[in-house]
Amino acid sequence: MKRRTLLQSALSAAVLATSAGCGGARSQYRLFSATEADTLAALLNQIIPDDETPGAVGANVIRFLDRHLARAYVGHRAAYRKGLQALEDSAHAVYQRSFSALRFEEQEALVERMEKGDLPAELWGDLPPREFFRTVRTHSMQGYYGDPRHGGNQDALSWRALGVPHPPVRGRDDYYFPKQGAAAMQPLADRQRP
Amino acid sequence: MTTYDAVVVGAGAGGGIVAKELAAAGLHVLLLERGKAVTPADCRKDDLRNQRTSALGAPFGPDENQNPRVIVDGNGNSKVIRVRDGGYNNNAACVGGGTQSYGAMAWRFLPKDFRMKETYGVPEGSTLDDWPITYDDLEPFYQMAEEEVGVSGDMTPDPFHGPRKKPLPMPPLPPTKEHLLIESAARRMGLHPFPIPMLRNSVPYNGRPPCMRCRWCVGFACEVNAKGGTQNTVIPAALKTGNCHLETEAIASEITVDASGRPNGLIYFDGNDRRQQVRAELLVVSGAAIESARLLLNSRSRFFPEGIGNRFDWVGRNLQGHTYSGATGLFDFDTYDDLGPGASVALCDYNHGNPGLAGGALLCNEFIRLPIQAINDFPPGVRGWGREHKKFLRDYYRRTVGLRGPTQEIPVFDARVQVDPHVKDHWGIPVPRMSGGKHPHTLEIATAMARKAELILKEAGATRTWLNIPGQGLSGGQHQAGTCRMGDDPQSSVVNRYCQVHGAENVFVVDGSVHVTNGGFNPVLTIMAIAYWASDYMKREWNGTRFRGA
Ligand SMILES: Cc1cc2nc3c(=O)[nH]c(=O)nc-3n(C[C@H](O)[C@H](O)[C@H](O)COP(=O)(O)OP(=O)(O)OC[C@H]3O[C@@H](n4cnc5c(N)ncnc54)[C@H](O)[C@@H]3O)c2cc1C
Ligand code: SF4
Repeated sequence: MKRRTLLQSALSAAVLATSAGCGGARSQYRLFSATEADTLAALLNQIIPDDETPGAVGANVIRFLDRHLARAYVGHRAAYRKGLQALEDSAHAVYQRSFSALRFEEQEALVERMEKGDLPAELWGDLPPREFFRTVRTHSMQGYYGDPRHGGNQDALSWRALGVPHPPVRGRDDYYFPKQGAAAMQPLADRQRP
Repeated sequence: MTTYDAVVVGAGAGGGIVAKELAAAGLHVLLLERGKAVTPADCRKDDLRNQRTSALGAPFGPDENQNPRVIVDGNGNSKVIRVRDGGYNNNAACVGGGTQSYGAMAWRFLPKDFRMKETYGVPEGSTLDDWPITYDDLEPFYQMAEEEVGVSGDMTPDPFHGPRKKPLPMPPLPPTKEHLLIESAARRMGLHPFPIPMLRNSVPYNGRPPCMRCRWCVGFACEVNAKGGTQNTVIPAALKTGNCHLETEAIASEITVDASGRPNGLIYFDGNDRRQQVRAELLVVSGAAIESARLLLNSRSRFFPEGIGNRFDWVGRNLQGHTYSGATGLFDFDTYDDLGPGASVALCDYNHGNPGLAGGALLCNEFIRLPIQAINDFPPGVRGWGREHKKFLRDYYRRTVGLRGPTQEIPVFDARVQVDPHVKDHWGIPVPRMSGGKHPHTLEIATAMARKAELILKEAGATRTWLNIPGQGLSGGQHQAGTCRMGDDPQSSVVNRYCQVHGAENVFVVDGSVHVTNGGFNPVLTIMAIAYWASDYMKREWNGTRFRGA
C-alpha cells in the first residue's frame, strides 16, 4: 500500500514537472488546462459530490479521466474540450460568472439544464449538451466506482462506502452454508465504512 | 497448398465441439480462431475491462481497432462502430469464444421452444416457425454436453423441463442468501424454484477443481478452471488426438469453390496478416450468428452470386438475441453475501402458458453485481447523479435483488446482418452491417415477465420495486442467433436439420445461427447439443476420405 502511494506521488510529480496545459496556466494534468480542470472538478462534484464520504474529486476521478482520455476514451477527447468550454460559456451566459465560481445550487441548476438539453444551442454547436452530460456521467461513475488500479476510486473509497468487502476474499475454501429460514435473513456483519 | 479433411472456423461453443468430435473420429482438422488463446492470467479480474463491462476494453476479443462494424438506426442512418460502442453486439473472439468468459448457465430449451408456430401461430409481421428437429432429437446430445463440459444443478424441483434420461452429473452449489429469499417467496406463491444448472464444477470433475465462489465470474475467465468452456474441455481433447491443428489469430475471409461450383476450401489471414489458402473436404462455419452470416455472404462466386446459402435471401435474416427484462427490489436487510457467481435460483413457470402471449422467459436472480454494474439501476424518481444517487447506492448496494429473464424473441425478417458495401476491416474484408429492431409483441411479453418478477420480489419482502424493460432496438449481442435458420424448405431457411447448407452439401453452419427461435433461455447448451448432433451426422457420412452426405 505504502509503496503504491509512493509510486503514485512520484508519478504525479513527474507529470507536474513535464506538462503545461494549453490554457496557459500551469496544469498538473496532461490533457486538461488549469481552467478546464477547474470546470471539470466542479462538474464532477455535482455528479458525485462530497458528503459523508469524498466524492469524485476526492477519489481522483480527474486523474482517471486525464489518463483514459489518452487511452480508451481517446475518441471523446474533442468532446471534453468542447463541452467544458460550452459549459463555461453557458455559466457566463446565464450567471455572468465562471462555472467553478458559482454556488453549488447554481451549478446544480445548470447541470440539470444540461441534462435536459436546455442550454443556449449556439454555445454548444454540434455537441448536444445532453450527450456531453451522459458521457461525463458514465465516465466519472466508471472512475469513481471502478477498480482503483485505473487511477480513480482512490484507496477503494467508494467500494468501502458501499460495503463491498475489500481487499477481496480470494480462494475461499471456508464455504459459507447459510442457515435456513429466518436466521438466514439477518444482516451480515457490519458494513465496512471508511 | 495444405489440405485437411475439415476446416472449422471459430473455436467457440459450437466450433470447439465439432473440432473435437471430428478429430476424435480420425479426421484431420484445422481449427481457425480469429482471437487469441487467452489465459486467466492475461485477463485480470478488472471490473472495467471484461466481457460484460468493456468500458476500457474487451479482453476476450475482438481487437478494438481491427474489427469495425456498421449499425443502421431506425431512420436509416448508418454509423461505423467499434467493439466497445453500444450496438456492436459483441460476444467474444478468443479460444473458447463466449465460453471462456460467460456466466455458464446451462439451459436445455423446453420441448415447446422447438414448436413455437404450432403452439402459438405466427404473430403478424413475424417469421416465427417450428424447428425441423424436436427436443427428443436433441436430448441425447444435451446429455453429452452436460457430461463432457460438465454441468452442476438439480432439475428435480422443476416440473416443466423435457424428459431426461439422466440427472445432471454434479450437484448444485450451496444456495446464496438471495437464493433462499427468492426460493421461499416463490414457493409460497405456488411456483417451482430450483437451482440454475451451470457449466461450473461444484465438486471436482473431469480433472478440474470446484468453484471457489469469487465475485468476478460472468465476463471473466476462471483462474481455477472451475467454469467449463470449450477452451478447457473439448479443445484440449481435440488437440490431444493429434488430428487437430489450432491456428489462432487467423480470420477466415471467404469460402472458395472449384470449377464445378463445389466448395473446396477457404481463404484466411494469418497472425502476420498473410493471406493463406487451404483446401478441405468439409467446411464448418462456427463464428457465431453475426460473423457466420458475414462469412457466407462474403463467399461470392459465379456459382453463388449472393453468397453461399443465400439463393433465397435468408442468410443474415432473423437476427435475434434475448430481451432481458425483469424487476429490481430493495430490501431493508442485507441480501448481499459476496458469494460468487451470484446467480443461483430460477423458475420456469412463465416460459409458456401465459394467456395472450406467444412465449415467455425463465426468471432468475442476477450474477453478483459489481458496483459499476449498479450505477444505472435506481428507482423512478431518483435522479441518476448527485447526492441522492450517491446515497442511494450507499444505502442499498447490499440490499438490492434483481430478478430477470431472457424473453424469447418473436423473430422478424428485417432484423438482419448484411455485409457493408464500403466499410472493410483491417484485412480488407467487408464488415457486418446490422439493421432492424424487435417485434412489438416481444416487448409485450418482456413487460409481462417484468411484472411477474416484481410480484415475486414483493412476496420476498422488497420494500420498493421497479421494472426494467429494454427498448425497441436490434437484439443480438451475447445471445445472438437466428441468421442461418435451420429448416426443411430451402426457400425459407439456410441449413437443413443437420446444419448442412442447402445447395452446398459440404458446408455446415454450427452455432447459434441455426436457431429457428432462441428459447426463453440462455442459448449455449443448445448450441453445444446441436454441435454434437451435427458432428454425429458428419461422422456417419464420412467414408474415410470423402464426405458422402447430400
Ligand atoms: C459475458 C457473457 C456471459 C454469457 N453468459 C451466458 C450464460 O450464462 N449462458 C449461456 O447459455 N450463454 C451465455 N453467454 C453466451 C454464450 O457465450 C454464447 O451463446 C456462445 O458462446 C455462442 O456460441 P457460438 O459457437 O455461436 O459462438 P462463440 O462462442 O462466440 O464462438 C465463435 C468464435 O468464432 C470466432 N470467429 C468468428 N468469425 C471468425 C472468422 N471469420 N475466422 C476465425 N474465427 C472466427 C470468434 O472469434 C469466436 O471465438 C454469455 C456470453 C458472454 C460474453
Ligand atoms: S465464481 Fe467460481 S466458476 Fe466463477 S470465476 Fe469464480 S471460481 Fe470460477
